[in-house]
Amino acid sequence: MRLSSRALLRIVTCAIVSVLTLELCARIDDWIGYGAPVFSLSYNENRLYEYDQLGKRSRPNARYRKWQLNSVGSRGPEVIDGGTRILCLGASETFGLYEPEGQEYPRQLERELNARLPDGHFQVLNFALPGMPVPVITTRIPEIAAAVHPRFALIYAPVATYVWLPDLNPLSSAPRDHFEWRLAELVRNLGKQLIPERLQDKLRERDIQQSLANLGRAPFERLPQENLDRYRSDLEELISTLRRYQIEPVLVTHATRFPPEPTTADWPMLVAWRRFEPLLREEGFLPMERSGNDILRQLAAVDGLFLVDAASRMPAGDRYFADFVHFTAEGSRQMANILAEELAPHLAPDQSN
Amino acid sequence: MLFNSLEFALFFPIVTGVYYLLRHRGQNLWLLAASLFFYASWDWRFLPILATTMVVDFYVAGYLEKLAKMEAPERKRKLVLAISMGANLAMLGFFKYFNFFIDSFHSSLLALHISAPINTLNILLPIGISFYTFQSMSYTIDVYRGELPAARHFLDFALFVSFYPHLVAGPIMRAVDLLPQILSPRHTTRQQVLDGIHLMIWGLWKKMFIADNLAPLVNGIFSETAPSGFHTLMGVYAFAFQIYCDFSGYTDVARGVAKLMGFELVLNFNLPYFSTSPQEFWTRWHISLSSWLRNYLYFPLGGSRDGEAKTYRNLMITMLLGGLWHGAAWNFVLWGAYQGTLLVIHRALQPRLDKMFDFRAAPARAASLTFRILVMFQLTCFGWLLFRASSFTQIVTMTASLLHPFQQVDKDLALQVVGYAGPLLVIQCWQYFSEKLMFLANLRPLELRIAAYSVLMYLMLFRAAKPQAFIYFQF
Repeated sequence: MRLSSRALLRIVTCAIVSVLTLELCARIDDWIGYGAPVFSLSYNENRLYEYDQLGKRSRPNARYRKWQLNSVGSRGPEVIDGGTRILCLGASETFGLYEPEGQEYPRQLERELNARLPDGHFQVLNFALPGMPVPVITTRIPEIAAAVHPRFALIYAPVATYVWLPDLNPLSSAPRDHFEWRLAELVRNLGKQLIPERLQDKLRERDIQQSLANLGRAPFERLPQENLDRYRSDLEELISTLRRYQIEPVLVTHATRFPPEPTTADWPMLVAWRRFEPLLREEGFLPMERSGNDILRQLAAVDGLFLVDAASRMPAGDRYFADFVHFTAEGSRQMANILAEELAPHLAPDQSN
Repeated sequence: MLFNSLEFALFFPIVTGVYYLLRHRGQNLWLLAASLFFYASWDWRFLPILATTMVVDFYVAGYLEKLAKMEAPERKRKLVLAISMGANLAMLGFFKYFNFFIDSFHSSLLALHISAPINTLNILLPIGISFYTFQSMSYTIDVYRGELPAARHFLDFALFVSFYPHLVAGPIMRAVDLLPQILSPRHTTRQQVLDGIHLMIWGLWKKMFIADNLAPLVNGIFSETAPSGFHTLMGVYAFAFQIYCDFSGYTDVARGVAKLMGFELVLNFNLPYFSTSPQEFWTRWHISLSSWLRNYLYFPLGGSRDGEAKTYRNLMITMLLGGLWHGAAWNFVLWGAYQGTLLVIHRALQPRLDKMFDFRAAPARAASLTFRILVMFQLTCFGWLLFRASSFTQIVTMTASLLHPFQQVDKDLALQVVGYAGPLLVIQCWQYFSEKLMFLANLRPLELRIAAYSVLMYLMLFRAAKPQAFIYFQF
């Protein structure tokens, strides 16, 4: 059967109409659900950020999907006068990816602390942003301190951002806005639901190989000492900056979904993690986490800092972790409980001030 | 293998693709194999039960025809028919109702303070048994009545019983409608392809977007111990649309799949919530079952031939058994009794109602029509409360909550129900007033139709809830 050019044109027109309708539906859906602009070129997490000579920072009053920032740029409700303010600094684990609105651990921690110490009037301000490296956090401390005058800062900084050191350099301008199909993300998510896990693992492995080829570098077995040293020095810098602004740093060790002795069942999740950090082999991730947490413990011991060892207290598994390091709502509740339990005695005397 | 599953998304194109490559006999054999595979995908242990139905009815019908040709006495023919009916009903009774009757008997004994050690059995309910048993029985009865010649080849008859699109949830096809389509070569027309694709998209949209999204909302309300009147109302309205979209969605897909292979299955739903009376409702809701009950139960009981009292009795018996057909539980019997009562009352009041609503002026006629549709919808919804409830206590509690003034109105809940059911209602108003059920399939130009289908596809692919099993599979 041969198709006439007229019929072929009709088929192509119908395909174009269908794709455009689906795209328009996705845009209207975003507009109804999140107030997203229908005709903007793109709609992605970059809406949450703005850039200056120091690099990336949160954009006050920004909104992207369920994520809403307040007028000082922290995730959550507006800052109110009075009470004790606690900063939460970190990356996507702290910012909250998978939890429903209000269930990310800083918000749960605030509720926990206020329930345990009702006179404290604690406000926990979530100043974390996805992919935020420690040096960029440090540069933002002066403006955050001036805006909200916090008493404490919880530092939950993942060492995984130190796999590829050029990632630590702050971007001084926003990535160029270009047209993005909103449909593409929906199709990707649908694919994740429909494609069997094994096939997804294969696709991830292919992505990793492609990323390595693009970087033109051989992967590491273990995170190099140089990178760990940089992690330590960046944390020291952050701590001293916080102290300079009379903010007491509280270090929190980094938890993952993996049990102390991972099994073969954990391998796909390590592959999924490596997709974001292709330079480090899967076998290197858990030793990297242990080294990072050892650094936190050493810093706390040497500098006499308060440390919450969440890594050793957080239970493993998918009830608490939606992926390798990001919490589920239940995981965030657990994390908030751990933090509140440890912090409450430490914060209690502060109520008398 | 649900129609809204990845497995079916693989099964369907393979089966249909190979089907198009074959000639008539090969198509039938291929479809029979595919249908048995489809049925075995639920549980292979169901296959012998299905096979027993096929074998019994094929040979009994053949024998009945032989007896008719030999001009055997009517008594003997009736006895042979009774054997087939007995075998079918015994299987249905055992697999579906055995535990129900044992439980009920036990409860009755306990109520009389008689204790007896009676145990129920751990019986697996073969999926779709009510549908294929009724279908197979209709074949034997039609052959007995001389309305249909017996099938010559077992494989043709086996395909009639097991034809996968309608095997597990109907529509219940009479042999006079389906068997001739199996016996003669089929040619899928362009219109059938267009209508088939339309029905599949439309049915899946109703199931995946409306029914599956309403399901958690309904489940939540029906699991509340003491729901408020407003919650009950919303729960019942939501269930009305859930069950309609679930069941009619299934049959739309079934009809669409069949059309793509050149088969025509009967219309099973015709805008039932636009009925103005109980009688009309049963000509619009689950049409294949109501036709079956009318042809094989109500008419043999005497129908409306022997005076009003007997007509009422026949209506009640038909609806009670129709209720019991839905499931082995007393709330289905109660639902059947409620539907029977509505039919009886309507029949008794019909002359007066016709007079009362006989308006000449167009606005008055329109208002009267709207009023009757709304009243009938409320009556139908109360029936759904009986149908969905899990206990008599729940029926009483929820009914009582409806009788009190509503204290609080949950706007979010109302918005959700309207959000899911509203678009369907708008489209159905259009279908009702234009009298075109397939209006989407007839949209012109083609690009507009493609755009409309794309919107439906968007909603069912990206706004669908977690897939739920079709409600009517349990029957």
